[in-house]
Amino acid sequence: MKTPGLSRISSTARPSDAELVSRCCAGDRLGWRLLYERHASLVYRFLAALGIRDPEREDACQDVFMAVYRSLPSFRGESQLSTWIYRITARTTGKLIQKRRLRSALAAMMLSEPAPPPPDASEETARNLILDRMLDRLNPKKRLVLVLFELEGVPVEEIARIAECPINTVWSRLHHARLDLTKMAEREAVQRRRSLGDFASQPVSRATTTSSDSSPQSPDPGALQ
Amino acid sequence: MKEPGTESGMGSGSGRWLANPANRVEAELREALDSAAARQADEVALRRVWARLAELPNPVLETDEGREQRQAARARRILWPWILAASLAGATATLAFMLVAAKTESRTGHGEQALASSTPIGASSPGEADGGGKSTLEAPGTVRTGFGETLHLSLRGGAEVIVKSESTLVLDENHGLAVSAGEVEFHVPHQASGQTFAVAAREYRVVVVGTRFRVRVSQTGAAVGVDEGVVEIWTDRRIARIPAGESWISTAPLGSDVASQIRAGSTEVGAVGGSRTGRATGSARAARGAAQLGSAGVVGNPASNPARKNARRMLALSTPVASSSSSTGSSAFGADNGWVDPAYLPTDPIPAGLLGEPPSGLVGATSGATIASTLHRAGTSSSDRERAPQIAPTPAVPADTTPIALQARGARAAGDARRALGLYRTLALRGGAAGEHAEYEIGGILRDSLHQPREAVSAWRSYREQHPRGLLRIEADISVIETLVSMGDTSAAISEASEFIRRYPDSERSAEIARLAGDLLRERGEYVEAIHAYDIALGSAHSRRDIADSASFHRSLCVHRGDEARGLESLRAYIATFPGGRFHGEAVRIVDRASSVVSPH
Repeated sequence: MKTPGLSRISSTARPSDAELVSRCCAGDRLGWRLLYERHASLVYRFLAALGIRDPEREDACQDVFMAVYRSLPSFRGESQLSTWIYRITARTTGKLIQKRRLRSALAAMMLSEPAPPPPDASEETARNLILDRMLDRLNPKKRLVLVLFELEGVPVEEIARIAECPINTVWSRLHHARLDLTKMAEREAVQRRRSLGDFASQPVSRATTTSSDSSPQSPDPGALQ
Repeated sequence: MKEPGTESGMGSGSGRWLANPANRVEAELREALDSAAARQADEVALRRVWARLAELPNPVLETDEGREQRQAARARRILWPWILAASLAGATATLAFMLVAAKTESRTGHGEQALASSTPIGASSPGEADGGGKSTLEAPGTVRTGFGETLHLSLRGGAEVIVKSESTLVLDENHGLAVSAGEVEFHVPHQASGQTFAVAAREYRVVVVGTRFRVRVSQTGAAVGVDEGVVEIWTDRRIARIPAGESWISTAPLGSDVASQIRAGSTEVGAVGGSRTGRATGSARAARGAAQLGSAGVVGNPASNPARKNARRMLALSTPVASSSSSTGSSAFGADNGWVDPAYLPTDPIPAGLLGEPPSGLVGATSGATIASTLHRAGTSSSDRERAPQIAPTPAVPADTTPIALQARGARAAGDARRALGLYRTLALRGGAAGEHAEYEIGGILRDSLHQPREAVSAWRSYREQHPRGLLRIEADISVIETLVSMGDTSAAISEASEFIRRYPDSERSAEIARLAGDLLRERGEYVEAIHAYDIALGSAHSRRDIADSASFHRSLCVHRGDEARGLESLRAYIATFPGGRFHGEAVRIVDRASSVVSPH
């Protein structure tokens, strides 16, 4: 994460995670700041992958770091700090999703069915939105494993610690998550092809801050674009 | 379809799932996963979260005791049917305890809290603090009063002080006094020849000979009302001399609510922002200005003392006057006075400078001066430019900012922008991360909610001056640029954008800003400069595909303007690089048109 105010500090010294933890436990605010700088990006991205959308994500990120800070003395260093933070993030997300489910059916519907990508969304944005939508449909346990393995690149052993389940269960969940995701991608592709005619026949408006010279483009009729 | 997971071996963890896709769907799924894996966290959001985390007073690490409690709570959750009855009984007991505690607290008022964090002030007790007894403030420290509380103190030298509701008075080691927040009234006996009595209020110093005056400090400035005698206002030079019956209010730095200085008396000098209008005397307008600046109504019973009439003109005209009892202190801020919502008024302490030795030889330097309050803006005579002693820094008064921050966020979310603005301004007074964050948010409210883009730009620029290396500095810069663009101030926007690129070449927003600068320059017909800006956007490590797409196309257009052949070549390169690009069609049209002109056959 390139945060000017923070990176200035980090450039002078690069303490280890264990060092940071002990500094935080001693009440060192600078240590706390460095810890945040090192892991905030990871948490924020992980929250997004687990389906926590803006503006809820900022609050969730704050909750995660408050939980991290409060529980730091209980971190025994048996796993990597990032693994431990992943676990806290996963728990926080689980609680948030549980709360979300208790809300009204309308809210739940809105959250589980995010709005389709805007017509002027870039190719990358549109692809991400569709992937998010598919991930939202996954079972949370499968999603956690898939996100950690495929997006975060966490080893299976660490995932087992984060998900608090045996390693074989991780493999099993990963397998089924991949199956589900592939099926969803195929369905998505079919739907896209069906709606292509409508899509292509409409001019795509583009809103830019300064440019007036737009060129309406039809989206690529690809499955995920 | 290939069985998912086969590539990764399902047991080894090696290899990449869908590394060799069987069809287009799998290929695009893999692409989508790679794209998501490369997704960057929103830098702005992360800084916002940090600002919020840092503004929390002291995130308490979980102690062994806390952990045990949490474990016990978990056990309770498991055994909840068995302990439900016990919990109910416990809750009842807790409720009863809270009721008793609340009653006890209401009896003691806030004095206990204020005094606990303050300097020892003689034999003062909470009961005495609330308007009753009088204590002596001798040792250095801070005196804070709670809501509705008035504290009477005596100072060395015979001066008497009344610290009004929710105010903070600081006495430093050199016996320098400073009003950090709220309103404090001083009764100063006549000083011996060569001696002065001085009080700091924000960046100003109030220097007196022997008088009665009040100092009010708010988030936007300071105000002084003189009942008797003569008072001088100093920064590094004397800026005002106020005789009895006059008052003085500093310029509001944020410039939105109080547009200028206000002079009490029969003449109106400054203008006061706000939607309410109507006929008012100069004094009433001054009172309104004071209210906008956060001045409270006079606590006490001014009617009993005719000498306070003039002072009241500044702060309390058209404001219901309350007694000094704690229960009525709030009405002095008078929501029903028609001028100001009490929620907008700052009530919290701010860091302030303290006086060293009061300046000597200043008394009577400009005797006979009358309209002193305008000097700050209009300039001063040479005799006014005497140097005053420097203000020594003092640490910020620690305070819990969380409730105000939450209230401010809530007010903004609820659409009550003015209340949110007031709360953020209060927070801004406190300094630290919370204050810094609040200063940034003020700009956002002014622009987005109150539709005052010019004031918003001023607010963000003020933030930058206050926090040149602030955590939200980049956001402030970007906000200024975006706002200037929306205002149509292209020159200023380009200048800001250039400065941004120069200052933060590694920022993940630099590509976006460079693209924006390129667009602005291109619209002005400055194609060479625009090409340079687009090159920066394209060369940035943080350039996203959509930015690269736009920058590449518009760069080609700029090149085309100067050299058609090279421009066409550049457009062809764009078409090849971005086959699905947003400007693909337009680029193809331009190239085709040019080809048909060159070779009509």
